[in-house]
Amino acid sequence: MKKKGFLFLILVFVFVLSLFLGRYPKPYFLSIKDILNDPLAIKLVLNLRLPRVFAALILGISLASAGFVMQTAFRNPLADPGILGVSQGAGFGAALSIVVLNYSSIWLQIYSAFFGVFALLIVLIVSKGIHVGNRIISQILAGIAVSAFFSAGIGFLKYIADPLSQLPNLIFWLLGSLSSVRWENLILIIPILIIGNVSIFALRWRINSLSLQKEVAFSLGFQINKEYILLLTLSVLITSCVISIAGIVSWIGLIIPNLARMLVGSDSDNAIPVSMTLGGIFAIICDDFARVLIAGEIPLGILTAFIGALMFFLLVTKRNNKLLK
Amino acid sequence: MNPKKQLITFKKVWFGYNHQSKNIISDLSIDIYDQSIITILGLNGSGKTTMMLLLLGLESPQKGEILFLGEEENPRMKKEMNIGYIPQYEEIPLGFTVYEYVLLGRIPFVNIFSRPSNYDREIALNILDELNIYELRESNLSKISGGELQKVRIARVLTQQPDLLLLDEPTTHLDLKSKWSIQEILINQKKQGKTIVFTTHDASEAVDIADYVMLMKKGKRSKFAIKNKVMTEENLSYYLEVPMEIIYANKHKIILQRRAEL
Repeated sequence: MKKKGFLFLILVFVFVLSLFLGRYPKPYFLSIKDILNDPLAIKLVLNLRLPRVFAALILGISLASAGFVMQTAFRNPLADPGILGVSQGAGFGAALSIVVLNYSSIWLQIYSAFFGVFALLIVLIVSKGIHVGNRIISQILAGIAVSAFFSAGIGFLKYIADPLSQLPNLIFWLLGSLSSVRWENLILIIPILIIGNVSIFALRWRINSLSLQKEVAFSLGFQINKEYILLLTLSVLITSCVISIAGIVSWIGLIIPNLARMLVGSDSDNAIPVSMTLGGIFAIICDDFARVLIAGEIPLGILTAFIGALMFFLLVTKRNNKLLK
Repeated sequence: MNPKKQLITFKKVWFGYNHQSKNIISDLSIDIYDQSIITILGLNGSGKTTMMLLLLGLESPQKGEILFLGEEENPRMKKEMNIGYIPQYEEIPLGFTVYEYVLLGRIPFVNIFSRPSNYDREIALNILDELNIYELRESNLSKISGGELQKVRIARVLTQQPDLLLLDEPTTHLDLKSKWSIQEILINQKKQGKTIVFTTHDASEAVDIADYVMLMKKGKRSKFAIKNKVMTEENLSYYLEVPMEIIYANKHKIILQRRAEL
């Protein structure tokens, strides 16, 4: 309980602090006076910075909770939210809208979210036809195949994209970034993200059933067909929505749930709230670096992968770690 | 004692997995009564686990019918029949404490968007206390011994407050002391009105604590009856495929393997 409260306070602190970090009127930290004395700075904070920090918060929460659900559902600490082809599917949707529809941010968002969820649907249908191993194995295999299929699609679209106008857009989008987030982008997906995350949060004790063996879960009245599909759908829905505004931001959904389990154990009743809070903190800090560190913009996906990989290395090399035991 | 009621009835049940030609269960008709211990005795691969899954309602017979509380319907769909199950091998979720894991037995009683209440927590803690593992409640599941883990799994299934407990080889691989205490738990549970079905390949264990015994052999018809009727030298030698001998000492039945040279 203490840990959760403390982490929540850190999250609030990081969120508020981030509103005072920027590059206008001067780089790095801005005092309240700096901002209030400059009408343009006030506009910047309200129309650009606030939606962006908010987007980073909800991105971190969503990827961390979806990652936790996937890791529990597949009983594998190395699973991530994209394990069922969602990331590549959403990436393909975005690429399609950039190359074929000539980039409009709203349509890109809709295409990307649609193809993310569509990828899950294909995985669920294809995995029914795979008769190797159990449910976990067949769905992971189907996920690998569907991911590869959509990667091929992305590769083809890169190949035919106009190298001057479309390709840079596409590449930047695939690296993941929150630089183009405005209130109007957020409004489209916020209802889904809130419903998805609140549901996962409410289901946080029930999610434990996923870590029990099939027969045991059955004897406890867990309705595998309904509840399992509900949880997968919620996770994929929020992942797709996040990817639709931010591109493919890797590593948050992989590393944060593991960090949460190290702190409070695997009982999802504790681990889900901690995972969500840590995800929010991590994403906001990474995005602060992305927008403030240099005059240009560093793609967020590069930073999360860089910092995430470092943290991952520290976790797995630490003695007595609980991660892979 | 109250008149016994039928929990589960098998009527001419046949079962086999599709890819196997032989039937695992052939033409089986039995009644499982409440407040009793039923032991399913057979060699490895004789179909004991399959029998468990039929009792659980996870598998359905190919021919014949299985009635739960006198009705042909999946027991999971009916709130009034609560069946607890412990498989022989189970992937134990890592990173749980004993208490967190045992509390999962309350899943059937907790609304899906809700969390265990203080009442649920109290039940879990009482059962930990009853099984003498209260001190272990904060220990990680990966840090306790095999015998302790088996008790913890039984605590989970008791927290579920089932009418019927299905335990697949609960005492296999345990040392004598752990085996003894698990058997004590089962006998106690029966006294509290529960019905227990457990599998084993150890004939002495069946003699010790069972009321009814079911003998199983791969591809052969099973035998099910009151312990004394079914545990004969002839039956045991046939179903366990080893010559067996029964001797009596101080009114106790002792089962031995018969070797020619002894």
